Amino acid sequence: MRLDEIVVEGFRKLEGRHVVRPAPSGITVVSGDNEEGKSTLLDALKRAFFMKHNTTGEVREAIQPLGRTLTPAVTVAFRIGDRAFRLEKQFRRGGVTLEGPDGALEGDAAELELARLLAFDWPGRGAAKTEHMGLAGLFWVDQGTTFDPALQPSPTALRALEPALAGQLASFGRGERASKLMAEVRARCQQYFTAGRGQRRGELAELEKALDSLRAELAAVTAEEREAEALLDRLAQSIERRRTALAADRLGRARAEVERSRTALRAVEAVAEQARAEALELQAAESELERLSDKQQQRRALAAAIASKTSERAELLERAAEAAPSLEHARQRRLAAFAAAEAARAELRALEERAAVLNRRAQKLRLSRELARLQAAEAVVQTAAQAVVAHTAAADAEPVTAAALAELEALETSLGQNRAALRAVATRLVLRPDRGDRAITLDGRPVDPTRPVELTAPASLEIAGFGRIEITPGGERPARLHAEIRELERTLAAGSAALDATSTAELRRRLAAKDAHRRAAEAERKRLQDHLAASGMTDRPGLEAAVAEAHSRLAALAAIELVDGQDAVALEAQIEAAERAVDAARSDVEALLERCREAEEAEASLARATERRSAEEARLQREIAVLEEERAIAAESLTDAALAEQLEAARATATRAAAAAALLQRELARADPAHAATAAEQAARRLAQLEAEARRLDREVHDLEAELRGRGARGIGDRKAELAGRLELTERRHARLLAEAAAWRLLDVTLTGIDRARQDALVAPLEARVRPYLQQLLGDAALGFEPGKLQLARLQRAGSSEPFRQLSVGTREQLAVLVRLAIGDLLAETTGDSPPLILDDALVYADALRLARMKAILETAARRQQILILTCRKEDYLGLDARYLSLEDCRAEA
Amino acid sequence: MAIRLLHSADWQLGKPFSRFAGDIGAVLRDARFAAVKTLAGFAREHDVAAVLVAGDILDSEHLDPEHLRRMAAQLQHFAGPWLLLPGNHDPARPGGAWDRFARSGDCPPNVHVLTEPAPVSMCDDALQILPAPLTQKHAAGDPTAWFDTAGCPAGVHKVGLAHGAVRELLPEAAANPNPIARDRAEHAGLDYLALGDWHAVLEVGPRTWYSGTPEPDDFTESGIGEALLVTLGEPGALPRVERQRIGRYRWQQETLALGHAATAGTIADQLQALLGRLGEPGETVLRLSLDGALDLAGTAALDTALERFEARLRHLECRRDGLTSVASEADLAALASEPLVAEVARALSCSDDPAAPLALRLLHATWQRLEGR
Repeated sequence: MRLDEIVVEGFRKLEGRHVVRPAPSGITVVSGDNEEGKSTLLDALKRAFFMKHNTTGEVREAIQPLGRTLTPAVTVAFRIGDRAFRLEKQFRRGGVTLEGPDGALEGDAAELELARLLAFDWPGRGAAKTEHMGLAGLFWVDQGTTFDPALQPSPTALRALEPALAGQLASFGRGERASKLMAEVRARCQQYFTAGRGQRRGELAELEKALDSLRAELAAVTAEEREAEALLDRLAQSIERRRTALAADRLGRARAEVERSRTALRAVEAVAEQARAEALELQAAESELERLSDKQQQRRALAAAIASKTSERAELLERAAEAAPSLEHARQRRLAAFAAAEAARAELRALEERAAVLNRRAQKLRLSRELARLQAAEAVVQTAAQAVVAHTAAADAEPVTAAALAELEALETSLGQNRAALRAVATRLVLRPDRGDRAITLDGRPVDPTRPVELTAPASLEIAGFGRIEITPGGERPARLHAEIRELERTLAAGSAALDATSTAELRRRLAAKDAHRRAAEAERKRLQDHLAASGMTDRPGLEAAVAEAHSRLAALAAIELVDGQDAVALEAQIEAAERAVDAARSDVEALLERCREAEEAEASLARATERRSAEEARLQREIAVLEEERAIAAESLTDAALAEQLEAARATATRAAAAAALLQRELARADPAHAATAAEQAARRLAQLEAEARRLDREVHDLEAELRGRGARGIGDRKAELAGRLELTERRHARLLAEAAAWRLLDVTLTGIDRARQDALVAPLEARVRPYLQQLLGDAALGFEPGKLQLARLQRAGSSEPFRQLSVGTREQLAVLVRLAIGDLLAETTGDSPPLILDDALVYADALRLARMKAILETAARRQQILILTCRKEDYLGLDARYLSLEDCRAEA
Repeated sequence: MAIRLLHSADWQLGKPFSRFAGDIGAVLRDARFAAVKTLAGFAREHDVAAVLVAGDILDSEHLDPEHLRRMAAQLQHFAGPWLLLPGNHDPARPGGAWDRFARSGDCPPNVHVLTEPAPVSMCDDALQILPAPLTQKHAAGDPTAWFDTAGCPAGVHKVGLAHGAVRELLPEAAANPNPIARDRAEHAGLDYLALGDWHAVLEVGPRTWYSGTPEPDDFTESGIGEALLVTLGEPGALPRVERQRIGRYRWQQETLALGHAATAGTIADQLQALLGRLGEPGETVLRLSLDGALDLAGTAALDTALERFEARLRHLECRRDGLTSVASEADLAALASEPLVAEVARALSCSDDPAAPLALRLLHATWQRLEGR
């Protein structure tokens, strides 16, 4: 498309008539000041094409010149390919005419044809927005919207680009219905599968759950049916077993067997009874025989015992007679040992007494010495204590304190300082009489003229022959100093008088003396403590107590006489000797005592033995008497001869009974009672088991029949068949639904995949054409687009990838222009025609270098495209091979 | 004197038909009871001496007792004796359905369940029925073997009643338990052997017949439900066997071959012709197998035609395993208005994915709808 002429009349701020004739090819620069109407010019162009002539309301009001009633009008002469058109649009009803090679159209027909020519869509109502404007929306760039993200190629633009890309890719873009199709397919797919993980949902999932439930239920019913079948089988088997058993009459035979075995058992038991009776008889005979034998044996034993005990007693009496002399001898020895021990004890006591006396003497000697020591220490301590008291009293009597002295000394120092100060400020007279005899008096007192006179107070100096000089030392200071000195002297005197001193020197002496008393008292105190420690005491009362105790202990030993000149060492030696003698005597006594014990023990032993023999002899005597009596009693009841006879008879009876018992035992052994009992038990057990089995079979049959009746009432067969049918039905439905779901999913996946591939392929031709422009602007760089869109996403350069939105405003502007130029190149190359690119102050953020590069790029592109640049900075675009127009110059007569 | 017997079998009362969606299952269940009533009416009309039912009267021996009570109600429409033989679906065994029926007190006096393999005399001893009841679902031996040694007085008609598979005759005979010798009737000197188990009328021999079920219950047999009116002349003479339709519904299988060029019109014509061949569409349960290949438009037309066709039948079961949908150039052209859609259609038409044909049809149908066609 090419714009040949644009005529704007009465359109917003473009008052009057403006005619702009762009260069048919290449660049046209239309300059104008701010607010002059450059953007209005572009707006007028857009409205001419994309706003219907009969639009009303605010949209229409927006283009009305302010304060004017003129109808805005725009006329555009343009070409598409080699076909020329002329659009005249006045924004009122019936105000549009489109002239073309095929004639002229008016009104809505013209608007429709316009939309067809420029491949855009009229919106439902109102003016067309950018997304409706097809390629014009992309190529006619309003100020400040160069890289507006919303200005990505709209579907209408993309459709218009389709022919250009027909050779590059099959086709791209999708219409509204295709989008609806994709949405519907996606929605249908998501009825069956979740969006994320593709898990089954909805009716499909419900069917699968229903299938699982039916299968489980059918399995359960089938199991129930199997159980019922098993019950039926068991019932049949039980009935058959019962019938078989009845047929075989096992119970009858078992009962007969029981009867027979019991009869046999009874016969055997009779024989056993007989044998037991015979055995009892034998037992009785043997018992009697045994009794008689025992009796005989007892009598013999009795006689033997009597003889034995008599012999033993005789032996004892003989031994007793032999032991009597030994006992006497032992008694004699014991008595002798006790006498010797007594004598030794007496001697020991004497030695101990002597040793005790010696010890007491030594003790008394030690105590005397101790008392003397303690008394000496006590005297020293007492003296020291008195000294401490005296010194302390002397120190306490002295009222002078270091603080008072310091205060007085400070006063003295201040006084001295004031005096010195006074002297310093004194008037110093140096007399130099001309004559040595000249009398000079100061306040009536003669003055030695050879010595300077210092006056600190008014004074009268009288010089003989001269007169009197009244001298008043100057200033307040001398008077003040005098006052201070007087005060200090008064205070000092008072302080000294309070301490009863005439001078501080005296006070210092007295304070020193006080300190000396204190030090002396401390020394005496220390000496006192040392003496106490040396005496083993901690304080004087302790020392006095020790002295008193020593006195007391000595008093207790008053009876002990000390030998004069007694040597403590010799006394100790005597004591030691006495103690040795005592130890020796003790040992003797112990030895003798031991001997006494031995003798005593020996005597006691012999005495015990004698007693034992006597007791034994008495016992034997008693036992013999008892046995004799027993023998006599037994002989009274049954004589020995009679006993022998009875014994013989019992023997015969026992022999006879044993023979009879043996006979019966043999008979019993032949009868085998254990076997008969076992047989009877087994027969009875078998009968019981058979009866129990029969009862069990009856019970089993009864229970199974009852169970089956109950199951029959539950209609398992119905349920199973019904479940099987429902399962089959559900499986068919599931298979059908699953196939449908798979088909929807396949369709969704295929649609999405192909759509994505198409969108991705869209940008390849564009990237190829923008690359040279990009290299010219930025060197080695590449642009990245949003997947499936023509929207810039990033810039790759120097090994990094920068998001588009993070680039500078100027760079983004420039790159957006490059993309449009590339699209224009693509269209020109493939279709032979491209829309004119109109840039309204689109590169205002370009620096000088970038602007220069962009100009070069624009010039290159302008070989193939018509480019209009609207700018308020004409100078920026000088140097281009372009037609330069100013908006002011385009204003023409109406 | 001629004796007429009505021979039926395989009533399988209580069969739920739950694999049929909707009400058709209940209709078919009820039809089986109605067939019993029809049998009773026929028996009454032809004054038969007895109705012999050769097994599988019940679909299962674990049925709800209501089925037996309902059966008893239908049986009362004919006063003559009903001789019911337990089959493999309803064997005679303690605790089984017949045992419970006998104890329940619901068994009418004219109904005899033959649970023992012992002769039953009827018609004033002019007729002896030899039943071979099954006492379990599967019996390895021939239950009719005892017929050979069952004595019968001279001049008495001897009729066998059994349920099982004649060896070497039925397709499943090789694996079928409850086998029956093919020449049992001749071996045992029977005038007639009434068999059950095969659900269609089948002549095994001049004296041995399967009566089939009075009301069809599956697509395995084609045709209608029947019974056999057996007329016995002199003892030893060949019986006259006449087929009698009993059942209400026809169960049929048909195949519809569809060419690639089929249109809505040709499809409708084909279905119409099929309707004409069915005779009683409203009483027909039809399994229709579709063979061939259609394009998408044709498939859509077929779906529409089938909806109308189904409404004319009692029930339609459609099998489409043999039918493929292939997108034609016209189909693809219809999708070409949108390049994306056209490309997707081409991709699906070339895809090996088993879901691709249906996906293509869905795409076609959806796009048509969006385009307002």
